Amino acid sequence: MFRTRRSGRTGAVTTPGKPAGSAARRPLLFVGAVAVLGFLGVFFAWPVLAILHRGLRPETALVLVDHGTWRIVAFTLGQAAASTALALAAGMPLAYLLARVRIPGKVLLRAVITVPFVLPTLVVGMAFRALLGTAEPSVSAIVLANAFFNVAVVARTVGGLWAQLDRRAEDAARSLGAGPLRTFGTVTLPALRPALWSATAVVFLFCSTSFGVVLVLGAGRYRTLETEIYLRTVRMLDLSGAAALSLLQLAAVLAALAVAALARRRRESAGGVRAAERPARNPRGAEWLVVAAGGAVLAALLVPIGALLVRSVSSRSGWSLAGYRALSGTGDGALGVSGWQAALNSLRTATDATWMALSLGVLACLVLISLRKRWTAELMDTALMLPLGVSAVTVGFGYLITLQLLPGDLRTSPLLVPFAQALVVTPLVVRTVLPVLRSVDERLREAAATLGAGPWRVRREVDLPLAGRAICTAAGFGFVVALGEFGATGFLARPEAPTLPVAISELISRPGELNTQMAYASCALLMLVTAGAVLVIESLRTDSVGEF
Amino acid sequence: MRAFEVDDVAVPGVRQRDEGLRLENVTVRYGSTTALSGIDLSAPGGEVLAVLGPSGGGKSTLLRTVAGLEGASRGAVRFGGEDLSGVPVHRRGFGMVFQDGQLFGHRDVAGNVEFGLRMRSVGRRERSREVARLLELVGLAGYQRRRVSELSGGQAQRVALARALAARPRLLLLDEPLSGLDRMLRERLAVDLAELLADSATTAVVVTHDLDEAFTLADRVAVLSEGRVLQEERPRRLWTRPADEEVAGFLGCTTFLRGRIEDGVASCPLGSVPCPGEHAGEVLLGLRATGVRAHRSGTERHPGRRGEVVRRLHRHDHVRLTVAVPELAGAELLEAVVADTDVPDPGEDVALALDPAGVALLGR
Amino acid sequence: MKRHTARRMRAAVATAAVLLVAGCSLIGTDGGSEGETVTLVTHDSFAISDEARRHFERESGYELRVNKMGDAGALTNELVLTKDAPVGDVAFGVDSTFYSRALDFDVFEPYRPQGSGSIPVKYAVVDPRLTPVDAGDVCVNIDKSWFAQHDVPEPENLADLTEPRYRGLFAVPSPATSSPGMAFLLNTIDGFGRQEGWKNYWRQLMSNDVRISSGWQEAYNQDFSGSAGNGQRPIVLSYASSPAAEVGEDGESRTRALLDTCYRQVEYAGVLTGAEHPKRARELMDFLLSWKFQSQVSEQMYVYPTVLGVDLPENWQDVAPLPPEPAEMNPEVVEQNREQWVSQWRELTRS
Repeated sequence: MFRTRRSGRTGAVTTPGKPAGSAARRPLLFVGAVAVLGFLGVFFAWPVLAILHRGLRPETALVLVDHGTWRIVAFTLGQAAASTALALAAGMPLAYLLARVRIPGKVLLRAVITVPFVLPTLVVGMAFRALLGTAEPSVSAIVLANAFFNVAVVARTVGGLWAQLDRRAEDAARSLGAGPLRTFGTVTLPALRPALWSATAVVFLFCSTSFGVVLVLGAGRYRTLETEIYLRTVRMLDLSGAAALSLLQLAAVLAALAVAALARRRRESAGGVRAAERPARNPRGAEWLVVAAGGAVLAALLVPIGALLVRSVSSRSGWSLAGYRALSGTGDGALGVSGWQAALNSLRTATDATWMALSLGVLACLVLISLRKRWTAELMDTALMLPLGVSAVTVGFGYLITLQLLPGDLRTSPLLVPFAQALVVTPLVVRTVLPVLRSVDERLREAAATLGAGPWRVRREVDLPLAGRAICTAAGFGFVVALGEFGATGFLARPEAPTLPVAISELISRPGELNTQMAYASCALLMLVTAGAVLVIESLRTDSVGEF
Repeated sequence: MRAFEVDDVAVPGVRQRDEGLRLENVTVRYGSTTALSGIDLSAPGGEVLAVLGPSGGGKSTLLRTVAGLEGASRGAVRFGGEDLSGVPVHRRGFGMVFQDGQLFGHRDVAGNVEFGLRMRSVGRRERSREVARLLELVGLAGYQRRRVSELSGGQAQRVALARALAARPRLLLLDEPLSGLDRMLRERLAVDLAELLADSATTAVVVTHDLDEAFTLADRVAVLSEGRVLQEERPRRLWTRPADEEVAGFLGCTTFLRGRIEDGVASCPLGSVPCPGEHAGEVLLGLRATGVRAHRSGTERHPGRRGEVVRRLHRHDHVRLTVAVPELAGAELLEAVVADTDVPDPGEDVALALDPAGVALLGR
Repeated sequence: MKRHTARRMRAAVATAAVLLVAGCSLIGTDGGSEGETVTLVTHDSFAISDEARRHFERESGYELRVNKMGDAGALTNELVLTKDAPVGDVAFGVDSTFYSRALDFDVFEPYRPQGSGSIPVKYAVVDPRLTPVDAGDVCVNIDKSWFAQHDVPEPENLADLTEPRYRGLFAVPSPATSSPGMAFLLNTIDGFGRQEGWKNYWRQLMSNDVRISSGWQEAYNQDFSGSAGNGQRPIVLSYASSPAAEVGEDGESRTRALLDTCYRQVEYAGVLTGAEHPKRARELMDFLLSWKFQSQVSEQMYVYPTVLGVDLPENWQDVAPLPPEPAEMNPEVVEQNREQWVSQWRELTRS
């Protein structure tokens, strides 16, 4: 870290094109990269590779020549693409509402649209089944439900950037004679691209690994790679077949990420981000149509939520708060703890997962923007996204056969759940924060450097504050994702510390009216906890770009 | 971290007055393109060096190389005799004012100005005293708590200047500091800036494409084009004795005429101008529009070369003519100025005479 | 403005710090427990009364730790995977369907716990590595009031379900994705013949508009009219014990298990090979067969105790008696054919 002074040598040859003294930041970069990749390696790559290794046999290849396999691949990608498209279409008006329209109680709106994301897929699947009246396997129900879960991702990611876009570019386009639609298409949309790509990538990965929804609404008939990997691994112990499918899933995810990376080439730094200009105002003219669309989406989101709430206060003989009263108990012994304790467990686990993911994600972002070679950055970026696209069951089974080799058998540690959740949350942090950091004018950093700030001081003084809003957004969203995470949690949570989603799953898997009521009351509690968490985090989030 | 940041930066106030900045054979390449090749330049302590040249000529690269934001492929940047090639940007103790300010939007005016002081762990009280002093200096007293988004362009640039000065840089680098501003403001700010630099005896490098700016601010001017220094000179001499047609062209000369110097007078087909002290011989005269005065032909008081007005353009303090002079080899069309009071119409004949103030002698 | 945001930021940091310090973190919650522990690896449905747990911990001096690992299938497969480094001392919950797999992979060590002499022959297994702890029979359940209201006679056996008058009334979870669904498939294979018989039966079920869902939760808690879900269908596949959960204020159950449609699923426990604490493991095994544990399995897990002389809860005798002659299948046959049957079933039901 101490500077090496090469004094007394004229014409010293330094590496072309690199700023003087850049060597000084390399060790820091290295430490950061090692920390991020180390975590990823231990808690993701190693377990996944270990379980794949265990399964790979010559006959693994047979799965690849099976007709049915490719049908499953096609269906997986198809439903994910359709769901992503729908989530984007529905999420954009909401993003507009959040970013550009002056609404009283916007924080509440933000909280409400986030709620769907945490709801257990099993419960939502059942709600959709009831609402749509389709007990028969239905692709459109799967797509609808997937979109329901992911609208929030789009609205929040895109809305976050939209709120920071300089409105004057749009005003300029309007003054040049472009209509509102034209302006949106030629000015706003290109500027939003970084966020759109982020959202698309994340939603696509979420949808392609969607499990509960596909299972419940596909009634076991529609199969995706994710459900098939689960069934082969968990029910059949067909590790060979599962390994083949996991490799396919990995390949599909990598392909999707590569497409996204190509598409966002040089685009992630599009629109100029600046301190918030308070761009919200009252809508005018045609903007009302968008507002109306946003309202319609909001109403659509509220229907399943409302149905669950109604369900939580219903009993065979009319309205009842029995489910809520039961929260202070353990069901009829179904849970190791009371409903309230499960809620507390959820909060604690999510807190841990959030700070872990924030540290990792922000560190990863700082490393990513420091990397000069584009392909190195792309590679690391992709590696960070992979946990979203790999089946939770693959990772979970991988844990079982690897983590005992670490000191203090993490397999039974209460920290394993937040670790696994952090794995899922970190990519979200990266996708939220990275575009903002990439949009920061390099000359701002240079200005700070000329004023005497060293490489990491620049990060702290310029990048972190400018990304402060995005980091808060990521923290809030990450917390919520961790709250609702079930894939890995259900697999790893210990019975003495179930989270709410785990508790709900256990309650709904038992007969008896009270258990069902308590399950739905727990859903309501989960929504409440989520909304509360979002409200708290949003209120901490500063209005101007954060000042640390 | 802090401990060694502090002692690495030059102690404020102490200047290596004589040595200043020296660039020795500096070459910068980006891949296969060469942005700067073999630059030798110097800005002695307390002097202001202006780097003038067309856009894309490598001016900004030069400044960024000095700041340490780009690395030289060959050659050395020295300050006070010390080779800076191993010194990272933040330890060079150079201040930089960017073209469009690059103020930190997440900090208010005071937060921007005091940034460099904070980096050097200056105490809060001293910081605020210093901020007040600098804002006063740039004419923005009391602006501490303003958000930078509320500032006008001129104010923002003043804040950027105050921010750079606050760190008491050994060397101040200004990248087109005034080019984003409107004309009136630019002229006023250039004068303010010149005074400020002179008063504080700051060593500075100003990069600009604006002649006025360069001549107002600089003790020495270097003309940079296509990555090479074409000429480095004191402003007045550069103005009157550009090295070649390219430099002269950049300095506003539009017409070149061959001539001769004899007895301290340079003569050409359009007339003659005095040039005391120049030795006799062939010379190329560079004529700016203001170097040729046109007069209505009707008045016989003005003999000399005649021409026909082709175009007429009203400027704020004079009228500019394009005049066709068919018999003048190599300068069939030339630019001339005419007094506001006596404006000829296109098609009219005018008499032409040289004005020594607008004539440059090349290759001297 | 700046001061304001700075204050907010400080508040945020402070809040985060307080959250972490005030225990909104799991760090430090594990802290190697002081006493000696014994770890039970089991499935998600495992439950134990506080009283029984305390009893065991007091008597043995060990703290009981429970590790839940998914359903019976997931549990078995996880045990197989972690054979070289087991995550506990005793495993409970391997069922008849996965019995053979557990034995084939040598997951368990032989141990005959105290009290295994009191297990009746119908549960007894030859292999000393696994001990039957409870039975959870999978049966067709019906909503009694629906049949009363609609004046339709209640079905009694599996064959009845293909009759036209029960058209559109039956909900069943898929054998491919659900444990009871699997048991039901085995039941039909056992009952109608391993060759074409069961396939014909399923074809008839399909044409009689059976509703197949992915899980028991949807079938029972949503499609079934007799549960809290108030669904449309009065016949559902569930457990023999389910009616005990649907007892109204009058002490009568709204539902009834059809005792002629049952398939026996026994749940086993055993000492894990390579257990860290084999001695404690054996004590835990003894406890699982003790009266203290056996007498609470019905209420806690909706299953039937395997040890003779342990009474069912009082009202179970009436509403959820143990099926007298449930179907069963040789575990080895199950292990050999499971995947093939499931894929044949998939083909068959893909309309």
